[in-house]
This record gives sequence, structure tokens and C-alpha cells, in this order.
Amino acid sequence: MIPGLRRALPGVAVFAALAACTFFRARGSAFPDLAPPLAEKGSSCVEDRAFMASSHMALLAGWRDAAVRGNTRRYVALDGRAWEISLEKTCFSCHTRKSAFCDSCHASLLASPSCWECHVIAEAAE
Amino acid sequence: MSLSRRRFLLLASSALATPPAAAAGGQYLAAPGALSAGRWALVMDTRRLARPELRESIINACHAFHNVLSRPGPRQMAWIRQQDFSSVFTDQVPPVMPAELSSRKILILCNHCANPPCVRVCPTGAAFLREDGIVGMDFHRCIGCRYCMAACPFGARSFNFEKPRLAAVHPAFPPRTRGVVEKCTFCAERLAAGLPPLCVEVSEGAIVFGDLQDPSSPVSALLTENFSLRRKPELGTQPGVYYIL
Amino acid sequence: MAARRPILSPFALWLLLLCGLAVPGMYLLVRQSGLDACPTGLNNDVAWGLYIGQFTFLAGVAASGVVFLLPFHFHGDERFRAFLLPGEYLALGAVIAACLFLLADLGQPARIWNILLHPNPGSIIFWDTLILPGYVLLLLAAARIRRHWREYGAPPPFWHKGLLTLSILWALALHTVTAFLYAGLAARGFWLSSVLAARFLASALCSGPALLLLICFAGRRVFRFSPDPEAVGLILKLIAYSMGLNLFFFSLNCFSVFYSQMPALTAPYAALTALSGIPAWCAGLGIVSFLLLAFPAGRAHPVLMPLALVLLLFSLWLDKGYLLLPGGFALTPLGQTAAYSPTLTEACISLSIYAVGAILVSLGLLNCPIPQPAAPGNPDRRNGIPERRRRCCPGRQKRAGQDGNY
Repeated sequence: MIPGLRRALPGVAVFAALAACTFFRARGSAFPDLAPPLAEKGSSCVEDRAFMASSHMALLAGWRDAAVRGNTRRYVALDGRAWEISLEKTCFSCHTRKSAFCDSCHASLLASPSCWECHVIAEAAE
Repeated sequence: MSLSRRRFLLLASSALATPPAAAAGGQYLAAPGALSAGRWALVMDTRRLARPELRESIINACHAFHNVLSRPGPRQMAWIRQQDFSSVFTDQVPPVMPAELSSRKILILCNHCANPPCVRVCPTGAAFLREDGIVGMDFHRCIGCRYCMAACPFGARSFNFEKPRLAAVHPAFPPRTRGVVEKCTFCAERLAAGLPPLCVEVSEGAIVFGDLQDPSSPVSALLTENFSLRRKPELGTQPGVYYIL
Repeated sequence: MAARRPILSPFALWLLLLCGLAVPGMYLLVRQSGLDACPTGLNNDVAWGLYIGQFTFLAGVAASGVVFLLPFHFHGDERFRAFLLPGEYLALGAVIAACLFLLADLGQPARIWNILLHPNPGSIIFWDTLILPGYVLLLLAAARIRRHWREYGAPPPFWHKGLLTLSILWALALHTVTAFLYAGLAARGFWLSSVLAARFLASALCSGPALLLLICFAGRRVFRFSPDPEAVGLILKLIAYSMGLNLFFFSLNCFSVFYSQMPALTAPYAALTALSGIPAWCAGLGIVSFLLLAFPAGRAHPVLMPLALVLLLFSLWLDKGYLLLPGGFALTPLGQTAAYSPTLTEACISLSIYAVGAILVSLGLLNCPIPQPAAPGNPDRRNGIPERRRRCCPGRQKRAGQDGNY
């Protein structure tokens, strides 16, 4: 047998209780439905909904490096449409309210990207 | 099969070495109508910048567009400033010189050197030298160590000691946050849209911008006809801003 | 009647005092990054100030920590045995405090990983980011090996000597790289000097041992510290020689600056002297402390010698921690004079980071058994090691430093 196991068991039990209590507190509550509302304007986004839901941060990181460092400010999407790489001119022209769109997912997922320290949405209704 | 503890740890740690996921998405191209050059340069005809209102309008145009809050004081943020001759050309001031010249205010900005010390010392590559000669500034990558400010011989860089509280944010260019260094970028975003830098546009022809490597560009024409000075050429940074006095 | 024992020992009181100094500054430090305005005295003319100055000074103290390794391990000089572990713990505390000062100074400390994710090998800060943690790892590895060796009597691995060589070279490289932060900037004539790196090393080699000697004298009773008097004398001579070299290198620098009379070189000195009289104090204290230590009578004097060490430490701290940075920025690129005075917040945070380093050093010193000479009536208390843990291979005592007794 593992020596000292009997002495360790109370501590293990305390740890297991502490770790499990978060699940007990949340039992019965449903995970929020992460379907952000459609943008206020525009018919479709740069890429399709599934892509944006899974990879919008990767896309934005690629946009950032392409525009700032690579000086390539034109993005040709997977469906062939061309867009100007600019948060302010492209993304915010349709997604005009951060609280209604961006925060609806970020708040429940406790994701707080630092983008908003600089890229302010002019019509953000805080 | 018996697995020793050491072998187990080795196998488990190798699982961490997964290849990165392939970047998904479309293609990145240069914007249509973008201006390009071998080496961008700026020529300032200081004789035509004698009017204070003109200089003020140039400075305000740049700062308003780029959301630079320029409050006077030791922590003043400025992408373009005006200083008198003896401050701009510190080691080239003759003891006897025309009075008008010694009191003439001269606009100074980042010189976009060809051998920039700020790029050399930046630990993250936030200050980077583009192929067209512009010294770019990546505000996303800057860690705020201010080594570039120590290395810049021209005092062209400003550090955001405070979070800028702008009365009105010009939406086309994001303001910065506390903790990053900023400077003039030769309006790279306007060049990508086919427009000249703002200071050039507002200067009524006093500031000329073009490709130094193109013999037919306006800067080459101006520099072959007029003698020009650059700031601190003995330091070897090869500045790209020329002053015609 | 027996004297009443104090509730807290002097060492515990010392740790409490350090915690009291550390906590307010740490709170201010954490709060500093969330504030809207940076609460330092820095501005666009003076980009670096107290924090980077303290980083420079502590990097020097850290580099000197391994200077005791050289005579002990390489030349078999037994007399330095007593200073090995204190020196290494001082180095560890100093380098960790130096890293904390760097973090306190950054504008965006959360982005510090960018240095490793997007490295720029041309930047000296990149090399500093590699060298400082590497030094911590080397010190910890060396301490771990020695502890294992001491407790279980196992002989050291074959690469032990190589590790110690590497840590000595690493320590010297650390402070040279710190000097290269400044010595390669064409924009700052005050720093642009090839002798700056030599001055850094010379001042490090006297500030570190001086601090170590003061710590060991002050903590003599707590740590039961009884070094070989010959070793103390040798270290004092080393300090005197290093300070002499430091002053000599400074005079070399002054000659180039003031004989050439280039404005780019002389104007920063004029600007710095115009701002305050501290440069004169720094030089004066340095010369006085050197003279006190240069003569055997001064080194042997029970009062003058610690006083000289304190003055020396203060002068070197003024030199690197308070004058070097503002001196480089005193003359702005526009030819104007820029003054710098640290704010209360900066002073508090600096004091707290020093306190954190002091806590680490104190705990380390308490932890390592300071060797005592084997007393004639107490053969089993050799080196503070309980008897059952003494080395099991009595025959392997070929050279000093290889018998595991520290």
C-alpha cells in the first residue's frame, strides 16, 4: 500500500469537497445560450457564422498583423468578397453596440479582451 | 508492460509539443490605390512655414486625426511639434546668424531613419522598419519599456503616462491606452488609401512627401535644387526628414 | 532571577519589519497598473528613473555574489568557505528584486511575454530577459545540488564544476549586458562610453561583497557566523582594489569627456551638476570610503571599517541607482535640461521591493547552516550538520570544497 495514505485522506477529502462545491452551487442552472444577436446593419459578416464563432479572434489577430506590420489592408474572404481591414470602418460599421453584441458572449464566458482599451466603438451604449 | 516514472513523464511532456493549428481564413493583399515607395522622405521648406497659424493648423490636424491629446507640460504627447532653430539643430548653430532664422519655429517629428536606433533596441519588435522606409509602431505589441525613448536622439517619441481622456474620439484611428509609446507613423493608414500624410495635405505645399529613390519625385526635385539640413546626421541614423532653411 | 525572554526573537522582529515595509509598496505596485495616470516622476524627457536605477544597482550586487566561488572552488582557498552560501543567497535575493524592479517599470507588464514570443536579438533587453532568469536557475541548481550533497553525502555529479564555472561567467556576463543597455546608445552621450561596462563590473565587485560583509557582521549572532579573519581581510582588500579601479575608470571617463570637450559628452555632466549637488557627494563619499579601506589601519579598525563599507555602499548606490539614469536624460535631445525627482509612490514601491529581496536573503541565510570551526569539546557539532546526516564517504577529501561541508 502507499505509505501515509491514511494520513493524507482527510486532506484529499477536503480538497475534493472544495473542488466540487462550485459544481454544486451551479447545479440546476443552464449554460447560457451563446447566440449573439445579429448585427444591427449589414446582411452578412466577413466570414460565415460558424467561422466567426470559433475563430474571430484568430481572424482579428491576422488582420492586426497584416494591417499594422504587413501593410496589407485588403482581406479577401473565403467566399471571395474583399473587405478593408479595419475594425472601425468594417466591423464597427455593422456591429455598432458593444454591450448588445460583443458583451453578450464575453460576459458569460468571462472573456475580457484588451482590445477595447483602444478600439472604442463610438456608439457604445455603456 | 511496466512503465518507469521517468519514462511516463517524458511521454506525457511530449504530448505538449503539438504543432500549432493552421491559420484559417482568406488572403491578405495590399489595398487598391495604396501608395508605395522605395524610401519615403519628407522635405520641409521652413521658409514657407513662417506663419504660426499654418504651423498650428498642421499640428492640430495631425493630433485631431490620430487622437493625440497634447496637453502642455513635461508629459506632453506630440507626434509633431514646433521648436526654435537652436533646439532643433543643436550642434549646428553658428554664433552669428540671421535673426529671423534664429527665431524661426521649425516643425519636428519622427525622422523615420534608415538606420533607426529605436528599432534596434526594441525588445519585442513593436518598433519596426518597413521596406518602404517608414519606421512603424505596433501599439499592440509594445510593452512600454521605453527603451526606444532612451535610444531616440531626436525626442520624437511620447509615452502614454496617462490614459488619454479625449473629449471627442476621431473614429477612423483608435486612441492608445496607458503604457505604450507612440510617434508619427507618416500616416501609414492614409498612404495605404492613396492619400498623402495629413501634415503634407494641410501645409499648403510647404511640406513635400515622396520617394527619395525616385529621381522624378517632388522630394528629389526639391533636394537637388536646394541645400537641406537633417537633424544630427553625425549619429549615423540617416534621418528621412530634410529641412530647407 | 532569569531574564524574561522576548516574545519575538530579534530575527522575527526583523522579518516583521521587512513585511511591514513590503506590504504597502506591493499594494501600491499592484494598484499602479490599474491607475489612469502613472504615479512616477517620469516624463517624456526622462524616460527611466528610480526603478531602472535600482535594477542596475541590484544586477551588480547579484553579479558579485559568485565572486566568492572563484577563490574557493577554483583555487581551493578554504578561507572563503564561510561566505559561499551567504553570497549565493544575497545574489538570489538581489536578482529577484532586480526582476521585480523591471516589472514595476513596464508600461504594459502583462505583455512581457512578447519579449520571448517575438524576440529581437539586436535588443539588449532581450538578452537581459534571458540572462536574469537563467541566473536564478543556475543559483537554485547549485544550491540544490549542494543541499543534496550535504544531506545524503553523495558525491557531486561530474558536471558540478562546469555548472559553477558557468555561473561565474554568467554573473559577469549579466552585469556586462546590463552595462550594454546604456553603453551603446548614440543618443545619450553620458552613457556612451566603452569604460562604462568596466566601471559597472568594478563597482559591482565592491558593492556586493561590502553588502555581504555588512549583513554578515550585523547578523553575526543570529546566524552564528564566525568567518575566517583572514578571509574578511582578503575581501576587504578586494573591495578596496575594486573601488580603486572604479574611481580610476571614472577618471578615465572624465579625461575623455573633458579633454575632448565635445558638447555631446560634456553637456550632460554640466546639466546633471546644475540640477543638484548630489554628484559631488557621490564622488566625495566614494573617495573617502576608498581611502578608509585602502589603508590597513582603516580596514582593521572596528568602527571605521563598517563605516567605510556603509559610505562605499551609499556612494555606489548614488552612482548607479540615483545618478546614472537621470544623468543620461539630463540633457534632452533638444538641448534643454530635464530634471527628475522620484515621487513618494516610487520611493515606497522601491523600498518594498528591497524589503522583498531582504526577506528572501534573510530566510536564505537562516536556512543555510553557517559552518562553525569544530570546537574541541564539541566534535559532533561540526558545521551545524546533525550527525546522522554527515557525509558517508570520509575518504573523498582530496581538495577543499569537495567534502560537502559548507
